[in-house]
Amino acid sequence: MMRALSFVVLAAALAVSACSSNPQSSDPTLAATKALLANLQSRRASASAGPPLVIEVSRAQLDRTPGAVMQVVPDNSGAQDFMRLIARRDDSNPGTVEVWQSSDDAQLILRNGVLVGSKGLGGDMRSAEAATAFAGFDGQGGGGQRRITLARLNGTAQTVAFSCDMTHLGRETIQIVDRRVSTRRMREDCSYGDASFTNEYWIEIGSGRMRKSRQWAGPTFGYINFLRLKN
Amino acid sequence: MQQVFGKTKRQALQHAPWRGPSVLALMAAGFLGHGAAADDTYDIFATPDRPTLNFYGSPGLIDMPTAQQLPDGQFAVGVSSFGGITRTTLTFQATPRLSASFRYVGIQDWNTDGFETYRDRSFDVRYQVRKEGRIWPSVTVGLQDFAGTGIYAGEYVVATKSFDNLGSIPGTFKLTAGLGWGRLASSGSIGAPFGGPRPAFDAQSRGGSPSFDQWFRGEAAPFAGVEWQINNRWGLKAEYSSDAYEAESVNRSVFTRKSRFNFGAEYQYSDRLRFGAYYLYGSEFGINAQLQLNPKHPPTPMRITPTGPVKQRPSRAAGPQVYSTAWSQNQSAPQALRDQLKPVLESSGLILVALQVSPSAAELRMRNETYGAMSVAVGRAARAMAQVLPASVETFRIVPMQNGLARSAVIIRRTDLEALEYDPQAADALLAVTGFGAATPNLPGAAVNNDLYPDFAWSIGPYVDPSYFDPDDPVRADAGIEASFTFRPAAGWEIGGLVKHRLFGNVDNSTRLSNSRIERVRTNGILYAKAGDTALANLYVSRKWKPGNDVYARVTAGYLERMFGGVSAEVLWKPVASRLALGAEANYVRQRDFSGFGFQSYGVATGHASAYYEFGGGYLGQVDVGRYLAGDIGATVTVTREFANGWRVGGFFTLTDVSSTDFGEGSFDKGINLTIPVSWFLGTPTQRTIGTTIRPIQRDGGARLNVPGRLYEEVRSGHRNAIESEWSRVWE
Repeated sequence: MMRALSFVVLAAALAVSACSSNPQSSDPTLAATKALLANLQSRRASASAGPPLVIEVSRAQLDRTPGAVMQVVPDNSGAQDFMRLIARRDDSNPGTVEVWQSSDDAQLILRNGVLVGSKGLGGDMRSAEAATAFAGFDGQGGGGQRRITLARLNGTAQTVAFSCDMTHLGRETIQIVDRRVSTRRMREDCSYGDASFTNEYWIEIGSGRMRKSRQWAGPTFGYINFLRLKN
Repeated sequence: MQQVFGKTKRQALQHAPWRGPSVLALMAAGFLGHGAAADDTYDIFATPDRPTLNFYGSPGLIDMPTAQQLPDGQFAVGVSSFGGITRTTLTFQATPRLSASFRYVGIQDWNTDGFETYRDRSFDVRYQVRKEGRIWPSVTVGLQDFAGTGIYAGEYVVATKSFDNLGSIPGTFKLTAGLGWGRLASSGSIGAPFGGPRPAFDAQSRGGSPSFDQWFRGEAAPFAGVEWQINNRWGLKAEYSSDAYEAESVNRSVFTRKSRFNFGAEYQYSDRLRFGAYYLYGSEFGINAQLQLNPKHPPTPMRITPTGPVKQRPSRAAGPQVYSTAWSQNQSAPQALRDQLKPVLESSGLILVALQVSPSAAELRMRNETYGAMSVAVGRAARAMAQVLPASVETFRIVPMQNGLARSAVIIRRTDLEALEYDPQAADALLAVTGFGAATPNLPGAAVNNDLYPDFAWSIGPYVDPSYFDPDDPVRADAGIEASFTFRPAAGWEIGGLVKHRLFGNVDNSTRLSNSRIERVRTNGILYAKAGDTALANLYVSRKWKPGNDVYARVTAGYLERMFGGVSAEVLWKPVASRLALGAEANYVRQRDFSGFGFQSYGVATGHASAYYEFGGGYLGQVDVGRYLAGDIGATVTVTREFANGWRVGGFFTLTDVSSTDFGEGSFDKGINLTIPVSWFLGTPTQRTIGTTIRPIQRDGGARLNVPGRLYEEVRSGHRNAIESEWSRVWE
């Protein structure tokens, strides 16, 4: 009897969407229930979806697009996105900061191409040091400590001192749309206790610009593949 | 949701020795002693061992406990059933070493004491004396049903050692051996190491008080078992039980016990859910469902759409003219800046209350009705100010407001804001240069937001009010439609009301009317439910203001809650950075008519002096001393653990001069508070929460008035510790 009643109540509650002068004040239990159901539904939907669509970008399309363009493919979704450069600035730390914005308004922050922060991903890397990585880009390799502040899921954050090694993997020519770019390929192995990650960087010979990379954004989000298509 | 009113279980109980509370005080002290040490500083990469649960919903084998503890902060819900015995248990790991459980049990075919099915509530505590080392096992001491009616009363000392990959066998073995007393010594006892005899179990004599005289007294018996976690999914368990189930299988025929050995297999269905099937006591099949979750791990990570990067000013050398203060000569500058800032704040989810500007500094008073984390609101307000205010304004004072109360001033230098956004330690670096100060009650000369008052808000929606632990029907509920409104004619003033109309429900079907021997201030709940389907839950007018920088005040009058109406006045002292707060509340109330309108003859002057303390690491303590609704005099002790993301779990108990005989079942008032932020489920910011208070039983002693809008939480949430607790999100 009670169970039947609870189901009736739940169904009725979901059907009768509360109305109010301020959406923030509707019943919290209902909001939480709806969120859990939506969460389950989206999990089911993403499990049944096919492989994500990948667009082959043409030179003509790039020429028509104003400003710099970065292609990103996070490992967790495999979905391709193109980011816009929304700010570039120098501060008291080495390297130039670039703030890139994705189509869903998340921000990835790169310092000379090295990922040093994220906003709107749902946590993970909040801020990071990049100086030791730059030191390893000189072609000789090297290493040192890189402190990375990672969001815990409970609203706090932890600054983790990773020890990192940069290895020079030699020259490699990569294809970016219709152009071939010769790069120096580097691999950075970082570890902290049992936790570890490996970033890879392709740095254009001559300009020294990072053209391609695969970088770790934190324990929840995982790896992101970057390809700088333009500028 | 609602305060939950437990129902009387049986007729008035006999008097029990009244010394229980002091042990709770001791526990609270131990809890806090460890609390201060147990911070939210766990390692992000640590994967703490998550022990499996037994039939009592504690870390354990099948019916016997182990010495393992759940990960810090973990909640576990266990539902187990065998031989007509169903136990539902909520366990909370309050500190890394201390856990507490609350259990509700139903035993079919009891057929004595006037029950066909016996239902009872019990509390356990467990303390891990030593953690597992390379050689030494972990050791835990547990008190089972230490304050209930005693049917499950038992104590144990247990040791567990785990072994990975024994020889060539895969998986993990956990070996457990322990010594039990009380119920856990009813089979295979080896004598009484700490003396005896143990006072006899008498189901009619106890209610609620800890039974010190029994603990670790009388016969003791060994128990043991092994758990083999074969892989990530499957586990096997076997144990030797020291429980004879005398009350169930010797004195009554709930089931037939033929063996001391139990066996089972368990399957980890998902990260949070585990199921098991068992063969117990040589005669019964059993099942166990275990749910574990942790406030630190939300189902959906919080995602907030970021704002743009901080707008940078040119350096003073590059653009000295930009820093001109000529703008401040313009009489209408404050109003113009207010009008520019308002929409920027709105797009960040914040409401401008007032803005005061001078050539070099500005104070923004804002309302955060969006983010559970005040640090997010402060960070966004600072960036909005940097976007709008003239370059010469260097010092930002940001004051979070609520109900007309200016709670604190967060002081940020604009230069720091510009320099640190992409610093390797962006949040910590900003905190190091951020100041926290007191906010003045009012801000003279400020450009105020004239759209805020008068403000009328309303909502209509469904509601569900559960009522637990009626022995005839353990879960009852009412459901229907509720409508509420608040009208704010001016800052600090509020007129509010809530009407509920029941569409269906069975709370009023209960036949267990009050048997209370003192003034029936709470136990007439059923009469209120029976009085009609439409109820005016409250209707009041209140005013809040600040008499001084650190002093807050409230006056409320009207129908304050469903059962009482009258006047209430409160004053609170709480400096912005202080861990200590002191408050006083005085009320004169009369009992409302069951129908809702008008009053009954009973009136009482009730009030409390309160001390609040933040111990750090999320542990909060509160002591209230004063006169309660039934005219009894005493004190309430509350200990709460609050997680950074807003989850709160607390326990409280109240001792008054009402004797345990007069109090009735339970001996004294006690219970659990639980608050869960809705954003934890949603993954998007909102300040809404789900909260409930569970009492094993609601009686009339130690009952406090429920006044809407008490000051402490409202004030504290805008003070330094609360703002700093999620400071890492200030740049979101």
